[in-house]
Amino acid sequence: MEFADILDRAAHQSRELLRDSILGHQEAFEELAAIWDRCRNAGWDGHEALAVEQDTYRGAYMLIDALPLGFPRPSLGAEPDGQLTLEWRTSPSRILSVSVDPDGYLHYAGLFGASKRYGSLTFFGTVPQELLQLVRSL
Amino acid sequence: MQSSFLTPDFGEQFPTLAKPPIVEAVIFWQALPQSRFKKPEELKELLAAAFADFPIIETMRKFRVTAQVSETNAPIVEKTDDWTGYRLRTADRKYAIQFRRDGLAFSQSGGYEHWQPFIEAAKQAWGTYQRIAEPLEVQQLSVRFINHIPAATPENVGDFLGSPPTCPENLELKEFVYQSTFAVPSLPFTARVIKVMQPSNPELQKSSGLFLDIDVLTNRTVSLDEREQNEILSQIRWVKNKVFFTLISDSALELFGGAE
Repeated sequence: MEFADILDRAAHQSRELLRDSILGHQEAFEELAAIWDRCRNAGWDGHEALAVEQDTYRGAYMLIDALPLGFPRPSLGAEPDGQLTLEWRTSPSRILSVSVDPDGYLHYAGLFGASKRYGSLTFFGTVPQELLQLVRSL
Repeated sequence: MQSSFLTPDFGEQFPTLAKPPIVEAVIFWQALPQSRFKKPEELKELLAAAFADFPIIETMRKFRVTAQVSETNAPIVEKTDDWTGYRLRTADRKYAIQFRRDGLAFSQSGGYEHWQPFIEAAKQAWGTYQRIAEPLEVQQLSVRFINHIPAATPENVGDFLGSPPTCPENLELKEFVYQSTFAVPSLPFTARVIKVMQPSNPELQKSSGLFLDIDVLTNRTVSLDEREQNEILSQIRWVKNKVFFTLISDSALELFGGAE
């Protein structure tokens, strides 16, 4: 796997360089870091919120990292159940919220005008096509 | 005689583009501060006063998530989170200054038309960095232009690039990432070119098509002397333009409104 790792890193480096530009999501990473700082301990909401686990943080980080260049930037948040959320919104009636859990699942709920859609997707490092389609549909 | 990388003509006139595909232009002075930065909060106040036209100030942090597996425990994640500086933006978010622990970056995104106003604004920001950070020299000076051609698709990329990627027979190209680094002969520069093709998507134009990232960097230190820097920036600009106009096709030049 040695050569595979070398080539994977080289390819990733190219994308990383472009992510460090207006096409990337550096600000989303910064927002994510700030949220985790606030929510990494239980009770972060002043009540009984669960702590955001490292695996959840890592999953959200990887999801942001996997977004295509120039993709709309999500808003980030944390839920009392310890999941992190990425939200895209184009109007009050067109919203997609994606929750990242520590087990590698993405749970989404979307309002598309009069339609609603819900579901769960597995995430292994590449943004599921279904998720990309949902954002495009907003 | 037409200039080449072997026989550069820094006075060479390149076609003026009525519709340049530039989405971001960046100049970066990598120059370690000699004077220790004040506490972040104090520096922030200083910057707010020095760059009144850049009212949006954001903290910059560099962090990395790494996964490690220990012998006895489940995988752990280490988050390295360092304050690296401040990002200041104009109210219209068209211009940005990164006031960093390792130097100053000035960028314009959207609406780039001419080099001169861009470089003059960048040099003003650099002047302020010098006053605050008091660097002794510039470890690296770079100019980076990122171009975006949303109309490019894997099928028609040959209409935009002079040398499109070759494909194995009967295989459909979907996307690509190419990074090349070139030594510029007889000049102390390196040119890095990244070409990325992302699948076409009419609903997400900003994410579709061809991205052409050209970054020209010095590979030796540069003094703080303004004349020397101006000369180097002029040479870097020529290299950047030469690379760009060498890579794009004649039909792309027409599309961008190129005129001699």
